Amino acid sequence: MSEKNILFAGLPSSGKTTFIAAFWHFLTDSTSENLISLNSLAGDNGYLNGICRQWLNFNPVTRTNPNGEEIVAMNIKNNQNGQNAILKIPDYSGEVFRNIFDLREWSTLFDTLIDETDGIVLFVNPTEKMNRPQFITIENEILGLFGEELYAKNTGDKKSWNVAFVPHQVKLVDILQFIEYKKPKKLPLKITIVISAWDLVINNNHTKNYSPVRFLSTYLPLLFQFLVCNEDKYKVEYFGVSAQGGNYDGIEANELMRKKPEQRILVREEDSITNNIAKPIFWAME
Amino acid sequence: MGIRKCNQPNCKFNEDGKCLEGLGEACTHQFDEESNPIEDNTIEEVPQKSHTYAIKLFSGDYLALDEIKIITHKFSYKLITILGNPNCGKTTLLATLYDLFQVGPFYEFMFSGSLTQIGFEKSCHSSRLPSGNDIPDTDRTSSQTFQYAHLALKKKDALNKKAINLLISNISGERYMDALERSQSMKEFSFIKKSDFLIIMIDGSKIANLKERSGELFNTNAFIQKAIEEGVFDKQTDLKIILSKWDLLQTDTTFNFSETIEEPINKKFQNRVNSIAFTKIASRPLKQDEDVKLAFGIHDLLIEWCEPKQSKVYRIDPPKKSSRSFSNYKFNKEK
Repeated sequence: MSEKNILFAGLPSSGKTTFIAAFWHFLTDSTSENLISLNSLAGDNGYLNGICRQWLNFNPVTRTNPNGEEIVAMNIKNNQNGQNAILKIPDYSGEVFRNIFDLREWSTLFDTLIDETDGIVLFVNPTEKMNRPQFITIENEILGLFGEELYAKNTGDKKSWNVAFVPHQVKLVDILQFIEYKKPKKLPLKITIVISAWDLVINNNHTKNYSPVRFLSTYLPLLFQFLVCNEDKYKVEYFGVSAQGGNYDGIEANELMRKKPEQRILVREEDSITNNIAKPIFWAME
Repeated sequence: MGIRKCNQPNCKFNEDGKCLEGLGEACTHQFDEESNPIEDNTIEEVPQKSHTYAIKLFSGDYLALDEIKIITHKFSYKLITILGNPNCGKTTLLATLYDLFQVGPFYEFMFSGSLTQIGFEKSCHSSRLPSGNDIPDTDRTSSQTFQYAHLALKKKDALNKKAINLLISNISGERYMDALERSQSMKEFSFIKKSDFLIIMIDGSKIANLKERSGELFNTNAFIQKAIEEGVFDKQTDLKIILSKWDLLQTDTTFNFSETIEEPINKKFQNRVNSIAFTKIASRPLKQDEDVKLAFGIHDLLIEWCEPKQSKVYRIDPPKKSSRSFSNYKFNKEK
């Protein structure tokens, strides 16, 4: 049986584990009409079942091991070519990727993992304020519209540079450049960009009509330019995914609870919307 | 002799005395507890697999001269050296260039990568909100080493072509001043002969201040003079003079760019180098208006830097006409 290794990459709180929880439910509940279906439940499914239960019970999905990785293996069938495969998705915490950027090194284990990877799913949190830099000039212009100035708001504390101030788009570019630098033979590499919490994007008046490509080019323009300029190295597809489906509090939660679990999932491609959460993975492993 | 113990994971020797390897006392995992160099209170921490960071990646900082081969050995590149007094705006030009791509493509240019993003980020810090500053600023370059920033760009209409790799210097003003004073220090600048673009930046804020104007021009002239005398600049040098902070000068009636900058420098040096060109920039104008906006003049610089590489054209006499008409064919075509 062949093995497909997909790396879920992303900074903390970018939605990787919630995606896996919803995907596991999708697989256990899926039929042969889908792109991928579950072939067998054999093996250790404790971690997957645990996060899946959290997801089904409308609880925020949390990792059991917040600083490490959980190796997730799924015995699947590719319904397009009829082949069985073990789909391995190491569920690394976002802190691991942040440390790779901060420390400018990765472990031998991670190095081997990159060697074995067939594709990458790169997660982006659309609500992260640090996605782009915050410029003093722009902030002053905005405050000026309300008759305010920045000097009145600042506490006077000058802060020296810290790696925590680096915008996320810069960190994500560097993580891809690390692969290019250290593993040039892995190129070209398939990358799925997943903009998570897509329900929040479409509930925002400014972005409700945005496609995933437009969102990325607007809110993480450095990463977008990098991907466009390096099409020879990275084969990229863009998705907006709400694995959670919406807010677990308030009126929205009541609406969600009336839906079947798989109907909570929202997957936005450039021109279409579906509940098929396998699509972003299928592209990366195809 | 103390009690025999074993440190091999999964071996139950410590519990039942059976060696997993079947080697008994010959097993290299066994040791005498008393002679074990690890004291009770100093148990060596076994690193977790996921925390065993071992493989170094690139640092992301600006590249020292001996590090630029990471680019020059792999890609075609343009070496751009910018020199000038402390605070004249060299690092601000670098920081602005990088920040422009943080918000999207800059005219026809798109960001294709950089191996020095950490260096850029440090240079940009004082213009960003987390610095706690009220007005944008730039941290001065304090390093005495010659450093280069890397920026790979592509043009929107040529995405299928290879990226243009720019290596742009970040050399402190103090280093420049030191070369002005000491011949030995100037000689250390000899490497800049290899630059594709050699720029001397004049501080517009000092030119705008009548008290400081002459001193700033004196430094520029003295540096060029000394560079020529020490053989750093020669008849093959193409020099570009950039007047920075143009926003402070554009409405200054006491200042005439041509009379104050161009003519004196040309008069003094145009016969001693291959060419001298002049331009004005305002990387981060204090007050933007219709005439001087953010990154004023930088687009023109990028166009120039990203032009396909050409061999230097030296002043040579045209070939003499041959008596054979065949030999004159190419020459005539070129005319």
